[in-house]
Amino acid sequence: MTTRVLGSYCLIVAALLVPRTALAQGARLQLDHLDKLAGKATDTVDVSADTAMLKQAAGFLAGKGSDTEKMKELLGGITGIYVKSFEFDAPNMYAESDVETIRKQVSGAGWSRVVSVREKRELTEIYFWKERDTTGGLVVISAEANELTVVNIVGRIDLASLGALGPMIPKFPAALGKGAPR
Amino acid sequence: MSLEQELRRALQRKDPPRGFHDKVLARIAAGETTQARATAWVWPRIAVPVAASLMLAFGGTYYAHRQQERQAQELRAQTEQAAREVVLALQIASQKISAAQAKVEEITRYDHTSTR
Repeated sequence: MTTRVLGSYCLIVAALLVPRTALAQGARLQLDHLDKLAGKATDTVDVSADTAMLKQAAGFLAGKGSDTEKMKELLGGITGIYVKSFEFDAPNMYAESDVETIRKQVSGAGWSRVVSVREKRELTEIYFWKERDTTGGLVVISAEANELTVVNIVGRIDLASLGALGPMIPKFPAALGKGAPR
Repeated sequence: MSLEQELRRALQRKDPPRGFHDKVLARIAAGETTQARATAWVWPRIAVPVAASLMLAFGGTYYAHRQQERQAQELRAQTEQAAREVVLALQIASQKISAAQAKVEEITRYDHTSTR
């Protein structure tokens, strides 16, 4: 009897925990299958910034000018940034299935496509993950003949603010020192 | 006997025993030599452990300080690297979003022109 009660209690706790975990992982994509492309690429960027790393970065950027303050503000709502970008010296170095695996992940419930541009051999798509009424994540897929880039941002993200950061961002890598992660 | 009388008796002047002066002089002479020898031995006995303790104390403090400095440097480097990676990620995200926006605008503009 006690075992049965305990079992039911465990099931209830598990049932309560599952949706939270699912929500937390909802906006996070599995991009590991792209790692194999690093061997073929001439230029690779692989950034995996979790909450701790973002906090560290935000702390570092604090008090380093108004531009960095805007970036710090933007980082405030984000819990993870995952980027994989590959540049190739020839076309057809990645398979169509590499892109499809990502598109499959964003075809489920919670995701909505806001931009989709397909031109010849180029595909640009932006997807949003919504948690209740707020944005809980973003995915950008940019597949060109010689380049494949996937950006996955988890957390509250303002597309306009992110777009507005564009002109000011290139100042930072120089200010932060050379050597982008490869 | 009153206390005063007892004190007076105890404190009354007494002559030293015969030969006391010579004995004192002889002992001083003997004592000086032993004293000098003892001092010569005592200094290294104190100085060596004191120096060793000081060296250990300074060495330990210096080592701890260096360790702290190294840890702080490592943390700083880690933080800088984190910031660099995050900025690069945002840079790529921003570039791709801007490119997508530009493409959408271009298509919209083309549609407007073709419908006129």
